[in-house]
Amino acid sequence: MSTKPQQKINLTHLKNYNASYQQADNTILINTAWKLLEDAIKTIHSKNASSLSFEELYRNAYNVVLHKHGEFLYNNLKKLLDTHLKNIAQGVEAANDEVFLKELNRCWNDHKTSMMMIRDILMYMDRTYVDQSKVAPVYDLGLNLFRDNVIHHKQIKDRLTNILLEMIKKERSGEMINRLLIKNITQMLIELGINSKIVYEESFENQFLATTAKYYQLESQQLISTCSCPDYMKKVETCLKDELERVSLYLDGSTESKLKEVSEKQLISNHMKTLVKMENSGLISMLTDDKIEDLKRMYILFTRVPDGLNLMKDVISKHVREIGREIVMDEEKTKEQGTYFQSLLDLKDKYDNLHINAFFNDKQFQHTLHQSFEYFINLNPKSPEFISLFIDEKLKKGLKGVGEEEVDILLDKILMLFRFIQEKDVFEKYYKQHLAKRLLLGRSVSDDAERNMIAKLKTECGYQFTSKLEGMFTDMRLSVDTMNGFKQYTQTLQSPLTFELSVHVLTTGFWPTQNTAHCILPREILHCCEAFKSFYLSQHNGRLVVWQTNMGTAEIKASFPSKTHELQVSTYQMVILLLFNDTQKIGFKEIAETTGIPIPDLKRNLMALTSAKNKILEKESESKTIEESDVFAFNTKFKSKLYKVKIMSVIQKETPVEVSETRHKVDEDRKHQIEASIVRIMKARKTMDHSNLISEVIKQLSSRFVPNPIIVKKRIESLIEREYLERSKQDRKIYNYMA
Amino acid sequence: MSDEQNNDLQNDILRLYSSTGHEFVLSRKMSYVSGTIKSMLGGDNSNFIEDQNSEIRFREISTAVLEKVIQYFYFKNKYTNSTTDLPEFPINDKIVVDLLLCAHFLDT
Repeated sequence: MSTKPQQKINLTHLKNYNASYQQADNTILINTAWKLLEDAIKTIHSKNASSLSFEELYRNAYNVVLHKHGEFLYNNLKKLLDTHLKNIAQGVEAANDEVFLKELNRCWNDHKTSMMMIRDILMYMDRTYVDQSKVAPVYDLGLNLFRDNVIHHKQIKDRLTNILLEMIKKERSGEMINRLLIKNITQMLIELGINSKIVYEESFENQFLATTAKYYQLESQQLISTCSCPDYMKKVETCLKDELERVSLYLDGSTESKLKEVSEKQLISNHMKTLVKMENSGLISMLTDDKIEDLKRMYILFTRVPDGLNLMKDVISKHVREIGREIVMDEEKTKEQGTYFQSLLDLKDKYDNLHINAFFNDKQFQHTLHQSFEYFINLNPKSPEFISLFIDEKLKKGLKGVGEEEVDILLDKILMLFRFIQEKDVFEKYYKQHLAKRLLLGRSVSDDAERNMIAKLKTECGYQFTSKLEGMFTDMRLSVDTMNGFKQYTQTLQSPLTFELSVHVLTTGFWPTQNTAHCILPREILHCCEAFKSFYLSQHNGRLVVWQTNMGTAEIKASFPSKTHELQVSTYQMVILLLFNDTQKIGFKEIAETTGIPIPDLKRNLMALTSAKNKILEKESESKTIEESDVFAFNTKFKSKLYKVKIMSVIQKETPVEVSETRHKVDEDRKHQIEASIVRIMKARKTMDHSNLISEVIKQLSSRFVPNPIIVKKRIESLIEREYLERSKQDRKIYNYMA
Repeated sequence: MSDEQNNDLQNDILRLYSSTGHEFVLSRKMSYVSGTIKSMLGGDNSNFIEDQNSEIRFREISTAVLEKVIQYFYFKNKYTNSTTDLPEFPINDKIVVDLLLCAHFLDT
């Protein structure tokens, strides 16, 4: 409690204390103090500070400011510094070009030191007067005055800039320069800006950037007219590196981005197109020659400038499309499916390699490449078939003796290309056909590889896509069991069968069955078939068994006068050959009648039997083709080194009729799929407008094929007709689902 | 090693004189509590007479006040960044105004 009154007393005491000073006539005091300070500052400027007493100076400055003469002190200081710096400026100006920068740098360092000392002795002014009257602190005042009097001096300003630029130019052309000096000078310019870089930018950076632009404009024009694309890029790389080094060595960090921009514009952007299109060394020839290093360099350089990569992408895409189109449209190659596809795979390999090694796995590039591949693969409507054929080939022969991992890699690659195919359902059709042949004729090399492929397709396209293919495998497995059962069953039969019968039970729908005309089987065989039929039906009641005679094979023994051979033939061929057990010569028409084999199939099989290699039958006419008037006889002179003789059936080329048939089938399939998709969508949404529905359908089906909007529209109409959908009464464009 | 330490010690000594010429000896580091003294001695490039001689004569500070100021230097150094409770810093009422002015002068 006792402290309060005491405080009051103290405060009055304080006022008295101040008042006593104010009352005194202190102008003399102030003037003496200033005189002292002025002398001291002059001493500092002449670098003799060690004789000065800080305490004395500080105390004087303190008193002056305390007695409200801060402004007086501040202005006097300003005047004093002004005069001093004007003298300095004259000294700098007088220096010749060679020592100009050095002189300037020396003055700057001296000035900085003096200003720090002056700031220290006038610290009290900084703390009170400067703060209150919002003027620049003593040190900044010094900087400002230096800037105005020295750097912005008429004779100094431009000279400074020019000398700096001259030095940099010298360095660009390979001369050694005093980097430290430049660094100090640029540093000075930065410091003079006081928290901003205005001085630096005005006095140096702006002109510097302009000169750089000009320099590289000339330089790049000269380079591009004399160098090849890779050489040019190498040079540019060095230039850019040098510039970057320049910044880190003696320029301010803020210049880096601007300098980069300017030099990149001159060196890269302006010549981008010329570079890419340069003949014999441009982007395209780099691609063709797999110049990974150069491509990498180009990628790195072009990333730096806007639109650089886009340009590259466009050119690459165009080039790949061009090459792809050549492969796809090449008549020669399309005839041999193997090479056709192999060259596509090679192309893909090549660009994958480039993409990883030269383009740093850039997502956009990958996208572009994929688009290009998709573009040209779908140019050829036969691509799905060829892919399937290629796989067929590989699985039949190509994978013999190849390690499991390699098979896996190969299949993955194939799948990569498969992904680009739009008409995946067409592929499915062909794959099914080829798989069926492989399975039934036991041509497949490795069951594992087959299953692997199916598994891959499954992950790629979903369960629906492969369910039938898997069904085929199941059928094959079940058939083995069935045949085991059948063998036991035949042993219990009263009349044993005269030969072995092996049957594959195929589920309709899974297999690409053709509606084949029946062929009339010989009695013995028919007997066997009946036996199997009754066995099978006893196990599976209520099923319909149809014989696919066009897909079967047979092994028959044939006794020729020289030797007995075992012939491996198709069922049709067997039927034909069995006819010759009874007679020597039979005419074409008679064969056709007795066997009931369809004429085109008959012709093909007869061709195989009369071929020069395995001449089982003799034909009387000399013509190469089989005519309906031909008469055939058993060739008694047949000779072969081998006991087992395999009769190659003449490969059935897809006739134009069949092609259109497959096409038709596919279209028919698609109709159902489109309808199913529409109904699925509408069931979920109940109402939907036309364009949304179509885009939704296309989205849903795009994993299998790309439906044509017109066809989708037709399907919608058909569904309306069948009262699955109706048009909304308010808006004709909106459909309602009818439950 | 010991020479160096000795040297360091020697360099670290600072003498302060009051207006009546009373001498106080203390560590330089302690005195840096005062902004004024700090720039007097440790200013970046300055080389004033005080720095060379390691002594400062305060013509306007009485012995009692200067003593208190130095006590405060030690007090401040001891409790800066300390987690213990701050004890009260005793100040004689008689010198309180002078001390206040002095603190202002020394930027403490």
